[in-house]
Amino acid sequence: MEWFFRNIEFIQGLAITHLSISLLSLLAGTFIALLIAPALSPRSSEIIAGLLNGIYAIPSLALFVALPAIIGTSYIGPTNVFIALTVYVAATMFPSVRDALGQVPPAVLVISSAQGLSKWQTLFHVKFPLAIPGIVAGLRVASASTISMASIGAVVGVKNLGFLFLDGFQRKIPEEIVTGILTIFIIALLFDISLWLLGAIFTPWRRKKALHA
Amino acid sequence: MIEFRKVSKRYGTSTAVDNFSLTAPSGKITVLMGLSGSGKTTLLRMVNRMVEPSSGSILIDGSEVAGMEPVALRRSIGYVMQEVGLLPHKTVLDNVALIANIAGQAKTEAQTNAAAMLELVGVGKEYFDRYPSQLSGGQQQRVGVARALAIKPNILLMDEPFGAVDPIIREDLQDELIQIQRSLGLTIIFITHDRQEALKLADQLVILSERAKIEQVGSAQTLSTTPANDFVKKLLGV
Repeated sequence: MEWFFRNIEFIQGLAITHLSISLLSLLAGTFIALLIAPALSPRSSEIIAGLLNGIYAIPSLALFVALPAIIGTSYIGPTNVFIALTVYVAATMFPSVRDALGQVPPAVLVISSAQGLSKWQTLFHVKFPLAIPGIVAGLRVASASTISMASIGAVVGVKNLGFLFLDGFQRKIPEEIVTGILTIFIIALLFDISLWLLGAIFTPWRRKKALHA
Repeated sequence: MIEFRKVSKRYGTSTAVDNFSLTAPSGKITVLMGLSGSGKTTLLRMVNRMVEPSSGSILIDGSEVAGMEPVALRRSIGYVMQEVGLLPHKTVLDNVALIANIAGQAKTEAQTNAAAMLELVGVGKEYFDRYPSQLSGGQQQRVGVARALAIKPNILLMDEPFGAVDPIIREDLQDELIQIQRSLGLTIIFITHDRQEALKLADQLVILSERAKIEQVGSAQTLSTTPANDFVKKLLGV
């Protein structure tokens, strides 16, 4: 506790970096998934899902280090971490978005077509709103894994909460490591609660109790 | 007036509709009755081009539907089916107004018109802000009919619309439909399995056997008093 209070300003800085890089990656990755999932045919979507799954299997540290060689960014710095995390988010969110878009009751799709909704109108008025619960469920998983993975960015020089693990390990300060764990845990929890709340706000129809069986 | 001219529909090697010709007169209810798999839904969906015929043509007031843009065509024809297909995430009023809006009515006009149509089918203001899951089956189907009417169509296509509604409500809905049809002068093609419903609603009753073969066509009166064959007799229970 004492260590925590002595270093509170330092921890705050790390937490802010951690939070912003996680949030930005989540937003960018989800945006990419939302963009490509509805556009693909079932077959190409299967191929993309496989590819993304393969990318997800690459250890994050390896990707952080390999990215500069691939895209020519500098070895040290937040850009690589941001891009790598974004790819991971896109990889997890893509199947979530795709499956969530497929959750529309068949009768609703028939009537949408029968009453002349265009493909885009069906997407915006029908498929996306009904996909919100599935997308939020996917986001909750993606947010936890992103916040956890972001800490590895400390190894390639991004000073976020992961730094507390590296530093605490090297200098043998258990309090520092515990502080890192707890802070990450709290951030993950805050993200999760916010997502849950957002999901509830955007799906008011799910809160209404059915009056008839 | 809706005309089917020598219409056939094949799916691979199986034939759903074989050389079907019929005229559904304007301002009348034409009821298609037949067993499951007799191609009724296929016929209905060819009118608004959700299904394209393999051969033959369909004309609305003398113009071939094949020459019309499908989305525009569908926005001018009301469609009602047994599984109502209301959007679960929109309120009753918004469900109806959305379709009216998409059919080309301005937002406020669509809202006013949606409200008027809901009242017309007996859905009161107190239901406007509810979600579909908060309605009974009968109420949902009323909303389904209002949605079809809100686009101000001349034609309604109805695919067993009251099939899942309990018998008492079902009779109310039939009575209301007849009233609405008369007052708006709608041309309706109505599919049903139910013989009482068929005899009650039909200005023109069409009995279909497999592959949409017409066993008999005429007024409900004619068919029930002089059925053409055993199939018609059996189906109508006369």
